[in-house]
Amino acid sequence: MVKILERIWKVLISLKLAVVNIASLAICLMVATIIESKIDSKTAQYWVYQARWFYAILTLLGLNILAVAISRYPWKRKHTPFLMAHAGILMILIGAWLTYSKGLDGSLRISENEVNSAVELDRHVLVYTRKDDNKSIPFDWMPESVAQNFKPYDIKEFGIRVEKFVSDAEPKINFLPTATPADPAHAKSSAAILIRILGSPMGGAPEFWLWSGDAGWSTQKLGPARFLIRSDHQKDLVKEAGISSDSPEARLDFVVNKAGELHFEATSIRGEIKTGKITLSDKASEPTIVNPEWKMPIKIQVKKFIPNAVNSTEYETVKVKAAMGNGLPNPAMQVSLLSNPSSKLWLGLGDRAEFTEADGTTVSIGYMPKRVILPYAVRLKQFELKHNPGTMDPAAYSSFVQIVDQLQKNETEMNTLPVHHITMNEPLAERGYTFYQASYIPDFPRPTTTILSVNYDPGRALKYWGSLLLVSGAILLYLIKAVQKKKPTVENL
Amino acid sequence: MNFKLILCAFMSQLAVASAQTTGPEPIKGLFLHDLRLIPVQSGGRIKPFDEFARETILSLTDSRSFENFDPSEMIVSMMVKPQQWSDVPFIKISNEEVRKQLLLDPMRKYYSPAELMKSNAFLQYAEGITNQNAAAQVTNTGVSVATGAKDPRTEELKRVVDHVSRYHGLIEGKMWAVSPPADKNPESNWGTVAEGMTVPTEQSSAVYSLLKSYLDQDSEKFKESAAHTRRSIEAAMPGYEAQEPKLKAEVLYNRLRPFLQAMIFYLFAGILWLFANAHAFPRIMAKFLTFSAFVMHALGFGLRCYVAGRPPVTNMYESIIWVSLGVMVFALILFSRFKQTVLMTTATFLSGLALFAADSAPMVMDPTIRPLVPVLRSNYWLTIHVLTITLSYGAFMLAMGIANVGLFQFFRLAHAGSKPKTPITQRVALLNQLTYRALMFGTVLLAAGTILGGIWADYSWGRFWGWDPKEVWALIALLSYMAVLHGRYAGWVGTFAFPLWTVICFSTVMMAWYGVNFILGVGLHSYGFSSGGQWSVFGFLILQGAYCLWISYEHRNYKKLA
Repeated sequence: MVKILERIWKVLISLKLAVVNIASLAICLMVATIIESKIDSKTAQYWVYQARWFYAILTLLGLNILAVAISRYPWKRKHTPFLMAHAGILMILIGAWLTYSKGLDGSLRISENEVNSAVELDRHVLVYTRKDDNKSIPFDWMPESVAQNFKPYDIKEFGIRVEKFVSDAEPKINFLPTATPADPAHAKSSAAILIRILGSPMGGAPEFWLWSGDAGWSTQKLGPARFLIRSDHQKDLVKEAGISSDSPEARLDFVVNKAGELHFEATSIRGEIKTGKITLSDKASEPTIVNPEWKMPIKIQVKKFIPNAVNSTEYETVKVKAAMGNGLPNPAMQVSLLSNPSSKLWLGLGDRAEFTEADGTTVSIGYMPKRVILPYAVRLKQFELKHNPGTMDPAAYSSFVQIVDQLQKNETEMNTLPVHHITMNEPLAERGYTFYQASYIPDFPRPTTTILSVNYDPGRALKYWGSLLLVSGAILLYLIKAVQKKKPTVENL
Repeated sequence: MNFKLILCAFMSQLAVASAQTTGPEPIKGLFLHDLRLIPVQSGGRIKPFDEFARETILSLTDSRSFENFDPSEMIVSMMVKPQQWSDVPFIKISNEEVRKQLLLDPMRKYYSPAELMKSNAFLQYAEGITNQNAAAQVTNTGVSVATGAKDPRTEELKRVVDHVSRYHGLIEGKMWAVSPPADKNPESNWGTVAEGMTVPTEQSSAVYSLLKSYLDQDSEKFKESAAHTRRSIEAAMPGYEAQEPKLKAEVLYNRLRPFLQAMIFYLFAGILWLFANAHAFPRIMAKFLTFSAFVMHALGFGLRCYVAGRPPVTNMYESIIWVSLGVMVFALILFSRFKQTVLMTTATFLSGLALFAADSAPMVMDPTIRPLVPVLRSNYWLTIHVLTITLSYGAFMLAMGIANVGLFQFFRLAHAGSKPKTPITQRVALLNQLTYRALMFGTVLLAAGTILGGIWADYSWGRFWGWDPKEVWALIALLSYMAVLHGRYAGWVGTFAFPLWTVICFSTVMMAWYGVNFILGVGLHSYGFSSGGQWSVFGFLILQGAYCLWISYEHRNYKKLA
């Protein structure tokens, strides 16, 4: 036993282990950057930077350094630079571990005049709500190569099964007919039509769905024209959608009456109204065209009409990752109830789905970014973006924020709170957390939503002192070597 | 041979010849001082007309000057005589397939704007590309969007279309911003010459009389109106007093071309240093030339700092200038201690070649001074972090150079035959010691610079380390050298392996320096992303690899015999 320990010790204090360790670390990092370049950073994080074996290499490096330092005991004066440099690396490693395990690094989005205290982390959770029961478990992202071999996975305590997982998902929205209008699993069964705009002055022939199931889906604006679908008894939807009837726009309402027939009601900008019934023909050669007789030469082709439709969103792997622009695409998963395997629903990150159990109880499953609630809220008073003279390139952006302790405070009270200025390279520190200006959400005419990065780092001091020790140790080490006037040793080649 | 083909070739030669003879000529003895100094708002800052002209010419001809024209005069001439200029073949199409696609004479490389505008094929492509750009602008949110694999032909076409549209923008007066805003807000846009046509300002009328005098070839009037234009813009410009010395410095910097001069001096000095051990005269000359080159190099660097208002370290061009300066500094430090001329030979050649590389590809390494992106602004940590890291590249470059000389000694050893070998082995030991010294500078600076980067990131974003490719590659380079140095200490890396590995490790520096921005193209350091130059870099790496293999082969044979 002692012999084995002795052997391990011998290996740990050997310089050769250090060389192997350093070289393998370098090679792993090279591979990681290539993964990041070829796939994306999340995948590189998954396979290398967050992988257990990578931490094992780092730990081994730490142990190696520690052992070598101890093996030189009793330390002499000449060991000082060596000890400093290596203690520095150890401190940096320990500091990094503290940051990783105890620290917080997330982002906080706030729009102007709004408050927020929920910091979103880069990790994801599944949230389960049933009556007063609230539970959440972590469910982290995995790359596509892993997701392809994903086996349906039961979460017993939530009573659900995760059927599929898509790493980089884009929604594919579709409307499907339901068997009966009152399907309990699909409470929101309403009429849907698929229309295509012909002769649009903006070019192309846009095609979109209108669905009376919710306000967001029931209207669509296209230049000065507004399209809407409603049931006969849903007249108030116009107001619900926040559209004032006196705005100067051409309107086309599709109305579904109780008999399930489709009518249209076209209103021109000058207020002329034209109505009619729409009958869909079965033949592809005779498309159903609605002419609202507006001044613009627009005609509308009704491609599909489903009297009782449900919104069915499916997710599939994104075809072109670059097309997503700024951020990386989000993941999505398909879940079902263990008690009712046919009840499959898709959840994109940030979505919440509701199931109805056999006894009528509603269960809600959310797939959410992990959140940490700050002990206070942050209010964005103003976001400011400056450009380089004569260009549209952003030159500087900054947020003017206030720290709000009680959410009950009213607007006027909040306006009197002290305003802090957060800008690039000028963070705000408040009770252990530090807020940095990270980014903003582009908007026209000017962006009004800021993205702050929120950070709590217990390893900071260790990392800083370790860095100082490392660099000064290395300088000292070399200085001593440079001062020692040693003739170059001639070896036999 | 096909008669028609010969005829075609002959005709096109004739066309070039005729275009050159009838092309616009510069006016002799024109007083350009005031014209060069006219402040122009362009590319997000105020610059002298001289710089504006050079940048515009670069964007038209891929070179910062054209034939025997002074850049400033050329821009005026283009605006005054667009008909003549439209027939001058100055737009370069280097891709032969593109020339064929555009149904142009594939034997030539340069085409005139008029010629291109006459080509229906070109117009069609131009329309397609403009539409694409319009679509791209909708999705572009200010962050560069990775577009995946690029077709070199499409890139070339885009470039040509961009050149032609810039040329038209220029002759229509849309490029030259002359009228400072009435509200005196330094952030507002200046009015262009074209806008001055509809709403004349004092400045735009001054420019018209300037252009008119040039058209009339009236040198006296030209001198007068250039001075008048300059004065009227200066008077209307907010904060001119602070800008004036910078504008003058920039014109001086442009006309002096300090890095070009330094490059020539370095290369001559390098040749002289080769003979410096044997004779006194080349030694004195070499010292003098090295000194002049170094002064010119440092002066240019200082001028550029002053004009840009920041240390020049944000793109490849600027970092090459700084790194080659670093090579010289380390070589001089080591030379003062070890008195070995090999240091100076290596360093002057390296610096000279680096400056040559920076100067020879203005389209790949943009020499233009541009404003910084927000994340890099107002922060001295950036300055220290980037300067430290890139300075370490200089030390590694010097180490690489000396190690290559060291490797050559093994070739000499293998072919020494019956000659005494001790001088060569002593030389190897000395060169290894010098390499080691250079690595000392390099590793300390790279470690410090990487950590400073962490501190800066922590200070700006609250993240000491985020596994960003640029920082990871800096770490990889550091780890590689650390593995070599520890391996040397452990006895794994011997007298031959040490220079060999030093040379090999430099490829990790190349990757951290060039590769992350130009090849990987991902991560937070995206403000430095660019493309081009791959073949030169790969060529260097292949040559270096071949050299290493060859020397290793020679050394192995020698050891087998011994």
